[in-house]
Amino acid sequence: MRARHPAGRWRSPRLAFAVALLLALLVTGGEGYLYHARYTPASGPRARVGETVTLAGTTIEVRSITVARELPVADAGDPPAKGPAGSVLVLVTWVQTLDETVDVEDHFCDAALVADDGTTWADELDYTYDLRRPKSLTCASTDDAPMVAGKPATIGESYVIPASYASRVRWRLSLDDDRHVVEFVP
Amino acid sequence: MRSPSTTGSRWSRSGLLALLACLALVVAITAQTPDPSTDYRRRWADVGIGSWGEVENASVRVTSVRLTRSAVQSTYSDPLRTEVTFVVVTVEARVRQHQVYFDNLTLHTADDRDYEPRPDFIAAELAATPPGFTRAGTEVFEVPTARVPSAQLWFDADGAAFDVYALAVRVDLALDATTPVEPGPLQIEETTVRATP
Repeated sequence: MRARHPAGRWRSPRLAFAVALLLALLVTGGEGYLYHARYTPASGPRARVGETVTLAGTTIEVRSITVARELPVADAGDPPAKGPAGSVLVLVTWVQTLDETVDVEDHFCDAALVADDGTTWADELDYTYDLRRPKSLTCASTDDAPMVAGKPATIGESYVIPASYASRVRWRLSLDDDRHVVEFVP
Repeated sequence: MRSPSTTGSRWSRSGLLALLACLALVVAITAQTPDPSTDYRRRWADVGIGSWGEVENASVRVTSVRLTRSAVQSTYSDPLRTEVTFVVVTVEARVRQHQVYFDNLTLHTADDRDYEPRPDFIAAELAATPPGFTRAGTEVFEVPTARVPSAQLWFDADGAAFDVYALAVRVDLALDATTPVEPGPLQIEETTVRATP
């Protein structure tokens, strides 16, 4: 009868292979999970226009979500802005205040319109660059409209969407690489 | 008869070697695997003129192909002329779910060369299109005449994931040595966009 060291069964090549395989599976599975998690934004609170939500040091109050075929431009003498055939324009205005815990320079955020079927619209300026709206055009601090912690900033972002989606879109603000998400409904 | 300690030591060595071999294999596979962000795998769809093909978040098709040696985009500018051939391709794209940029359109020739659209006609090209909209555009390629026969339009993928094939479309433009070259100048219309019905 062959003698076996008690530790031998824990050091067998088969076990080592199993450990390596398990490790490989964990790495592969983890990478897949992280990839899909990145493209599946976390769900967060949902609010209505006029309500205030505070998330990750950012306080957001959506003042209006205006949906129309035409919207007035900044220069009163010019004709209103309108999008391509079959579209409507959407102008979202909100007040955003960052507290002292937020690094204003690295305040990564993304605002978009979303629908239940997963369709997502980024803001656009081709058709809406001259709309009458606040000076800030994005949720992040820019040279034209710098943000200061503790000081409310009024922002206006515009979108062009098919008219068929006019009554079924929500406005979504994502913070910190989609780790914090809030949605507002008209 | 081996002593238990000798047997244990052998097992220990074998186990360690197996583990190292497995890790070396993982390292080798990782080193050999192409970077999915730059060298991604594609699932090509081969279609003809007028037929729709699928790329990520959009259906695309070629609606016409013409050859000329002169083209003009605006009535205010002079026609652009060439000593070789302009391949003028009108295209249409229906976008779904997420915005598509159409940055990777090329004319691919039978001798494996890729030509990008002439930048002079950028206002006519397919451009960033939001979901729910259909965009029509015109791509103008300047190609040596000998390379025109059998050329294809490639709608390549904008990017890919590590675990899926990227969708891409190859369109046979049905060009051969007998395809007529129009005297021109051909009028190149600006790109148009409308909500998809």
